[in-house]
Amino acid sequence: MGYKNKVAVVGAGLTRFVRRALETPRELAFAAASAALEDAGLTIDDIQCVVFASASDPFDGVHMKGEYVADGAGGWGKPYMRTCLGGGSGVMSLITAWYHVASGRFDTCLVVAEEKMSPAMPHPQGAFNAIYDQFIERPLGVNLLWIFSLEMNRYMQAHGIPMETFARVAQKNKRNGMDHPSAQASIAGDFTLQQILNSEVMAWPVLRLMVSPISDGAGALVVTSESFARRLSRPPVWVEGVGWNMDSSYWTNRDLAYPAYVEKAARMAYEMAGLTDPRRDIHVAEPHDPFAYKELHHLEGLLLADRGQVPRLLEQGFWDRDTTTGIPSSPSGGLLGVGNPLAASGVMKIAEIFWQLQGRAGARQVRREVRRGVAQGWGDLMQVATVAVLGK
Amino acid sequence: MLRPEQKQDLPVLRQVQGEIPISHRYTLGVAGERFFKAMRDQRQLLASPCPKCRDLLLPPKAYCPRCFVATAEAWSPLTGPGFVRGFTVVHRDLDELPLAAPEIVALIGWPEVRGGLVHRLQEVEPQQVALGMAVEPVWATQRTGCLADILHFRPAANH
Ligand SMILES: [Zn+2]
Repeated sequence: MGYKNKVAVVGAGLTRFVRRALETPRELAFAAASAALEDAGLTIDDIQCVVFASASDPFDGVHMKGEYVADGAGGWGKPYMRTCLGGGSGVMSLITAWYHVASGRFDTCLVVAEEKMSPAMPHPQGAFNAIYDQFIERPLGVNLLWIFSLEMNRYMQAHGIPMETFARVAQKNKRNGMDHPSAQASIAGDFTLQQILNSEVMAWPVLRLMVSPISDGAGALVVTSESFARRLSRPPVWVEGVGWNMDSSYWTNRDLAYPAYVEKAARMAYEMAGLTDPRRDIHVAEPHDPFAYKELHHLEGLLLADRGQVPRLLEQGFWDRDTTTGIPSSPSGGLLGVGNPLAASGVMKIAEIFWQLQGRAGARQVRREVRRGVAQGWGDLMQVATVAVLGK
Repeated sequence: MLRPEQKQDLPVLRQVQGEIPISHRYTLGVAGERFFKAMRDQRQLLASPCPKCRDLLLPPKAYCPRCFVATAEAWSPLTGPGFVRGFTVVHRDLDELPLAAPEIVALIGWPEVRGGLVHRLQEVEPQQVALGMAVEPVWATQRTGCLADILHFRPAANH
């Protein structure tokens, strides 16, 4: 396919994820953007355009959030746009930056994703309530967790998966998160399966410790053309493939047991990257894991395991960070172990693949050799998948 | 074919009442905490200096949006009056209802800063307001660290 530029990621930065930040959304964006520029060894003067991502205006409580945050994201006096696919926004922001640069129009693009969920009172759920149909569903007092509990139960029933399996996912990610400097306090930790299984029921079968928290935070990436990246001291990480796809936004019209739209997005990205066997060619994965079952759901959609087989591989340690024969999944700790400021958590996942491929993930560095990884975002009205394949 | 616009008979149409059930609690932020604290405790307006372009930013920010660097630690209180850089006379409220009396709203700048403040201008008749007019804040006696700590601006004494 005729892209003008090969596209690279050359820097990444994150704020700490916290339950309630003192910083304004602009100040969070500035902190992450500055960290990413510093990581790349660049300044704002090197940046030709800016892509901003954020999920929901009612969280921060600012209408037209993208415009409000712009100057904190480095967008002042530059070509600037916001990309929004809810929880899928973070990975979509890299995809948006990819076409800014792949088109040949820009050599450099700063990507900033920010979400401040804590202003929403009494609970960000109130905003989610309004994603449902005003006449058919809202009269029931619908709660966001309804979607996930119905979906998780369908997945459990379809493959006969026990609750312990999901507790194991939460345990893995929360342990991984203990090594992430951005991890939200009390989210990461060494939990026993019993602790997780005994945590309170939110909407059965979704339990408290199988859900990502409410978070404030920001993340940023520096994306450049090949010629620009070659001038920098560190070896770049290439955006080898991008894909995105949307299912029906009406939940009764989706196959809840299998996220077919994730598979479509993954196939689009793999085809662009020239991958024929993702289980051989993908060496580390960051699937979107706002809920424990979602990581398993998404690993299937990403074609990294056969349908219904992810739990068996989990038992074998195939997805563990220190695996030598499997594919480490969510070595960052994911949303369950680091936190979930929606759009920013997608950028956190891309940053993790970026640092893993550069061998800079520190205590989180996976044991096996990695040349290529996949980051996946999900969300919107729980029907969107965004996928990026990065390689070195 | 476009349908002609019709007057909808509201009592006949079935409608459902609704809202997005959410309200907000905003933190002032790193810069905002300091700005409003100085208003409350010292009756001072602070501006933050950019270490690179040397501009003084008002309202103060934790970073310079142009240079994209953190602003310096030492903030400067504004001295002297502000000057009216623009104004309007508002006759209707948010719901388009008439105000009891028209209100003057002014964009106020200070010679040494980049930026400014928008606030109400009182103790002056609309026809007396002019661009460049020197104005000063009128502070509330009970201050809580918010914009309302300045009741309004008025023409500066001795100008
Ligand atoms: Zn400056």
